[in-house]
Amino acid sequence: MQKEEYLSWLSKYTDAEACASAQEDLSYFIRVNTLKTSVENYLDWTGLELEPTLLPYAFKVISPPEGGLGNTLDFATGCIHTQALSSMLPPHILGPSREDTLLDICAAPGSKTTQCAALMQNRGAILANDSNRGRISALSDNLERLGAINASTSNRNGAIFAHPHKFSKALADVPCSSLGSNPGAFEHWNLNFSKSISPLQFSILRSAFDSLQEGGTLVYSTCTYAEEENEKPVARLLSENPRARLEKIEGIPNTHPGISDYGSEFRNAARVYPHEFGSEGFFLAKIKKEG
Amino acid sequence: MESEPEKFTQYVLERFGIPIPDWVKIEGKSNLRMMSSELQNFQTTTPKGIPAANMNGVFPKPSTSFLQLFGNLATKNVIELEKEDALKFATRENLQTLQNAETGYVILKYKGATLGCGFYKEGKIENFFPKQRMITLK
Repeated sequence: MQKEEYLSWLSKYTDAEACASAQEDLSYFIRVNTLKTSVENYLDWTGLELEPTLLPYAFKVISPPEGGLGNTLDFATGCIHTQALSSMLPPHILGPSREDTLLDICAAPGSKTTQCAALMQNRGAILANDSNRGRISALSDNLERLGAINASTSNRNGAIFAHPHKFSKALADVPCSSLGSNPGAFEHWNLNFSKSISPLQFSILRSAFDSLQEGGTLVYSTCTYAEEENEKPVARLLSENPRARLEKIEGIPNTHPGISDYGSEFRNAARVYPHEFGSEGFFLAKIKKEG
Repeated sequence: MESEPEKFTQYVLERFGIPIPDWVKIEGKSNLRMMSSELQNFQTTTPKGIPAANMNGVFPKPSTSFLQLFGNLATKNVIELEKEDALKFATRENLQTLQNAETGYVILKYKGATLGCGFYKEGKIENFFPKQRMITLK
């Protein structure tokens, strides 16, 4: 799609010019891996110049080192992981604890999985699934480097995923058009792509929801703006499952509610835009399975 | 007869003074893996946790992941490096040191943070930092 046409489409959601411009110049963020160090010790230890964020373990990197963040002792020791601040929101909102069993249904390369492991203090159990066999090695490498010992990987199709265990928490960070994370993605995108991937996103969401125990919670997320990939799959889940309820996402500043055309309950969802939040574009919905 | 996980648990206690926490479970025969006790009881057909040690050599070889997680509990056979040597270690260079240790595997640290594992003998440290995590210096 041509940029002009894309901006015209995006303007139905937000200030398209500001959004696209911010996306081309996004900051780098790191997550301190609290499985290996404390935030306090790490800040004493590192030579990086950092700025705090809304998450106590996440920092904006003021001036990334010349060789890249992946080429530092900080990274090699597994004390940090490079991860967009927006990408840290799904685990933060889900808030898993050491008592949980968690399904991460689209886990590779493992940024959110390892963040969940840290929030769970390496206790409980995580099933880190990804349907793409080629990405399992990247997932395993990150689990090892970051020291997540409460996770097991699996390589099943998320759209038809079934497991004998019923999980207390689930993450469904589904494949998407990446318009919020990749500034050039619009060039290879059109609305038909979003319409065509929407049924797959719904199927993955449904599998994750069906894998939840009663009273369990899941977070559905994408890094894109199209409602066909965001509100639409969630609305279908809500309409087909009377036990599914959207829970309010609170405490994340500079975000917007979901689109109300899909129902007033979408005021509980969150849309994240780069020019307002300062990191990648995201969509987040927190869904509870009532008993 | 002692199982391999029991041998490894005893080895890291004697060699490094590391008491493996009760909730960390070690499983396997020659290639040991470590996992949370809750994951150990979790029903799955895929490998659980991450590598903890290789038991094939004369001495058990703890994984870098194991040492980076539990190296802070070590009380002996720890060598603290200066920044220059720490960077060299992360590039997988072998090192020399004036610090004393018993011959065998040692834990290498920089400003208290564990870098990984080396093999110490007569002032020389053979580098066992994983290739996939190495850094490059300009």
